[in-house]
Amino acid sequence: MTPARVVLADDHTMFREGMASVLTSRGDVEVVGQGPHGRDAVALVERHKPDVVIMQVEHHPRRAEEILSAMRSASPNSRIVVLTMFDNLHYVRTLSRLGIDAYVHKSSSVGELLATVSSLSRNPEGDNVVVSMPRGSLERIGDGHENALSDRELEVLVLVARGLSNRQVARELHISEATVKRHLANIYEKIEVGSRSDAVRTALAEQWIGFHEIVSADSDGHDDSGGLSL
Amino acid sequence: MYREAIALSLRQRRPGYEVRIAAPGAVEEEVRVFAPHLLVRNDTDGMDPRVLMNVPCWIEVLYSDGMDARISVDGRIEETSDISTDVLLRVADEAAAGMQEP
Repeated sequence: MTPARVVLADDHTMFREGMASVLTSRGDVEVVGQGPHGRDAVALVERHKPDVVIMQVEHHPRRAEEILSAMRSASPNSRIVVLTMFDNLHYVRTLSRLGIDAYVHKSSSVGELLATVSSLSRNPEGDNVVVSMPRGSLERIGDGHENALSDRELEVLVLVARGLSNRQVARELHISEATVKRHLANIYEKIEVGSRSDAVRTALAEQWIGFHEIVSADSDGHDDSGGLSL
Repeated sequence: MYREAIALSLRQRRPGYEVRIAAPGAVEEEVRVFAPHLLVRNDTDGMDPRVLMNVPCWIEVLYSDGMDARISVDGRIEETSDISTDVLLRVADEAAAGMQEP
């Protein structure tokens, strides 16, 4: 069987090299390129046209969209596996719409990542998204009001959480200020709160929106702890 | 996944070394029981820094500061940006060499 050709993109060199070593040792995977994520990764993908791309995504959805779109253009047939620290369901949904093929939370095991790579490379035409994330996060699907909020309402909430006024939100989303107010009124009613600060607090607490969407676009999410003893 | 990938890689490259993986909450106990010659950790694991006094060599990945790393070999501390596997192996080998010394 021809080994799956993989490009590995992660900023943490020791992890990336370790993962490359583990993948290569299996025999059914060939790591054809590795490097930091972002534009460098896009160049690697363009050059190698791999079967599978394993890439770190730890930033704002807009930045992720930019990189994923570039990657799709560079190699339309590559299957894309996203590795991330974020277990926010809104983020999963956003990335799914950007055309990823697997969403693997970094709390997953190496074995789970390997199984994902193997599955995707054996089924290049598959349309399902593989998701590996903490059980607790998945169990929150359908809880509360998240499903009641539209994507536009979630967008408004994110901008409000960034401290933007109604006028600024309107400008950002290219809608009228009255429309922003209507969205906010609908949000208040749906999630049973009485103010924008309560709406933001609830949305963050329930993980309908994530801190990564509010803070800087390139904030890094590494917090996987290592305790390796020799 | 980080610690697992690093441990598996180290086992592959240095099969003679005994490598154990500890969850963040279990590091202090693992250090006490296993008494490692090298500890690889990150600075957000909540470990009491005094634990490091009982470990001859350690690597602390600074997740809170752009993934740079601080390395200590027998009390000599150096800093490196974006630590690589080669550096990990070099420190592991130095730790192993330290075991041989009287």
